[in-house]
Amino acid sequence: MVRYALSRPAVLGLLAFVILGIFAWGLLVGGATLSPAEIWRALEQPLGWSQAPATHVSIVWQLRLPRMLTAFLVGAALALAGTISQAIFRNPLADPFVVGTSAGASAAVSLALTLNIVYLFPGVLATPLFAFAGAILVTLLVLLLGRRHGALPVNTLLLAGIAANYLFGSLSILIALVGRDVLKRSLLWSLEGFAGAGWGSVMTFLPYLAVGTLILAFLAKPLNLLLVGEENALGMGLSVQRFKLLLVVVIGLLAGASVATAGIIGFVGLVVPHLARMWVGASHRRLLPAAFVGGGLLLLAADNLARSLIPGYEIPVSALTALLGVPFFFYLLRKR
Amino acid sequence: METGATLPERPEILALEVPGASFLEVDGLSGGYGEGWIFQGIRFSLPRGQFAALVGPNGSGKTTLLRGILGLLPQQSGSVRLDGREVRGYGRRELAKRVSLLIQEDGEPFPFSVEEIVMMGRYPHNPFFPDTPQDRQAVQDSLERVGLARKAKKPYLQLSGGEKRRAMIARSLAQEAQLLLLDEPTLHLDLRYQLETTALLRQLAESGLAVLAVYHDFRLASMYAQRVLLFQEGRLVSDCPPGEVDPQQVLDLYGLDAKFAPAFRAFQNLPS
Repeated sequence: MVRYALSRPAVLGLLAFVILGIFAWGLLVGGATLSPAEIWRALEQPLGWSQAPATHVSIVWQLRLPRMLTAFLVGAALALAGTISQAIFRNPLADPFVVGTSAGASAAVSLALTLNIVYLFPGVLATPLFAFAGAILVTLLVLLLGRRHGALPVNTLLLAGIAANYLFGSLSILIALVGRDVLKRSLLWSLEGFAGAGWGSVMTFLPYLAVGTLILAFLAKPLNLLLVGEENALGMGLSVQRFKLLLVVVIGLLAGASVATAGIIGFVGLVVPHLARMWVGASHRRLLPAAFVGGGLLLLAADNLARSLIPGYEIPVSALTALLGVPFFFYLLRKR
Repeated sequence: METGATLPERPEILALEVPGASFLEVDGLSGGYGEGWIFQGIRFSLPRGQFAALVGPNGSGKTTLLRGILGLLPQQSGSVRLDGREVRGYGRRELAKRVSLLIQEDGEPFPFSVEEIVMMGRYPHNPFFPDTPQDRQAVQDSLERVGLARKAKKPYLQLSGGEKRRAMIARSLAQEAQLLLLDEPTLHLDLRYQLETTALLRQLAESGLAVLAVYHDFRLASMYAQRVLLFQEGRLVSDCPPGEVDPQQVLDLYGLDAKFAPAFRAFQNLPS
């Protein structure tokens, strides 16, 4: 495959440049207008080289940086979850949003918030734990109900996803209505995106992403095998059913924690694996790292845009990713 | 085609003498999906160096039998011995080092390179990245054996139908399996690729592999296979070299009228 028109160092250099650019952009935009020089002084404040006003330091270090980091990490997790969803369903249209995994996770969090049982678990794990359970439940359900001969045909996948999205969307609303007094919290947490993200969100989210990513680091080969069909994979020595179960758990970790942190954000998990495949090919050895970086950058850029598009007003980042993702989704459907 | 898989001008029929136990021994094998038997009482053996075609009409249970040989059916009884050991006693990866399975499965295409497809066959030997030098050597050798070495870096999806099939066969070779099980290796191929693929299987058998391939086309199979197993409604009704197959049985197999007999007799008259 002609993949590298540029040499590898050139590609990596370019990538580093893009990453720095997107992070710099994120630091510059937001409610308060700070000049690049002011941002820079606030950034290096902890080193003690220069004096910056406390408000500037706080804006940069307590608001913008953790928020950007959260957006990047959630984007990475969603893209990884999308990549392995596409392998497990053997269908390039699968992603945690389309399949209904995110809706299940969201409903589970709403339930936990309404019943006020979130606090039964240690702080860092609390909400994502319920999201994790909801995500796994829905993924297994769709997988079991929709499969035909080891693959999930597109029409079945989409129908199962629509059904799951409606079902768990309605459940979320019902749950929120039943628990009136927490209605506000339950409904809002899923629309907030990264608005409330601080270092706490980073620390809550990181363990899930770390565990998921670490597991995936060892699974690139069997993931490749899944894509040529389950029986062929069996014939090559892969215990397919056990492996798929493990993948469902990883999807639950990644998508569940993402939903618990930032609500339902669609299409990152769908679009990024495709772009990454165009870039590095289908082999998961390169695809997983590419999706990680690509997903992080895409969602960070989307969140930057959400903060800056309309001055003084913040657009929900999920609305932006949908605006970007839906045309792409239709393009994929048409291309088939 | 730049492959070494040249068409033999006249497929010769080899003697079937087997010294000692065969690599694959199937005895009294019955299997199904839990709603009655799909096939019953299957008994045959296959030594290394032999290409046997499992021939029968569509829906006769041939593919299910391949699954049964690998112990993949939810319901099965009888014995399948591989290299002297029961198949059920092997771990998945241990088994994959001895048998490979090629099945045509539906699915959305993903953009792998030819080399990456063939490298997948190395999974039982090395389930993690990075690839070892042995892995790369095995992939290189396999691609050469099927005549695809020059297309190693090409996108798999850009290959012709016949080349795709050969890439899949190379994947089985990279697995270093000594028994190749293939389900309809010529499905959806035009005549040229049907012949080339089938000739390649014969060539691989002559290089020392045991090959069992499912065909629904008796004529194609009997051109290159050293042995034809006729499979009818879940039972093995004949097992002999293609030149010795009873034409009446072939007619029965496909539910054909006697007036079609000449179509098959023509094959029987191939000089052997």
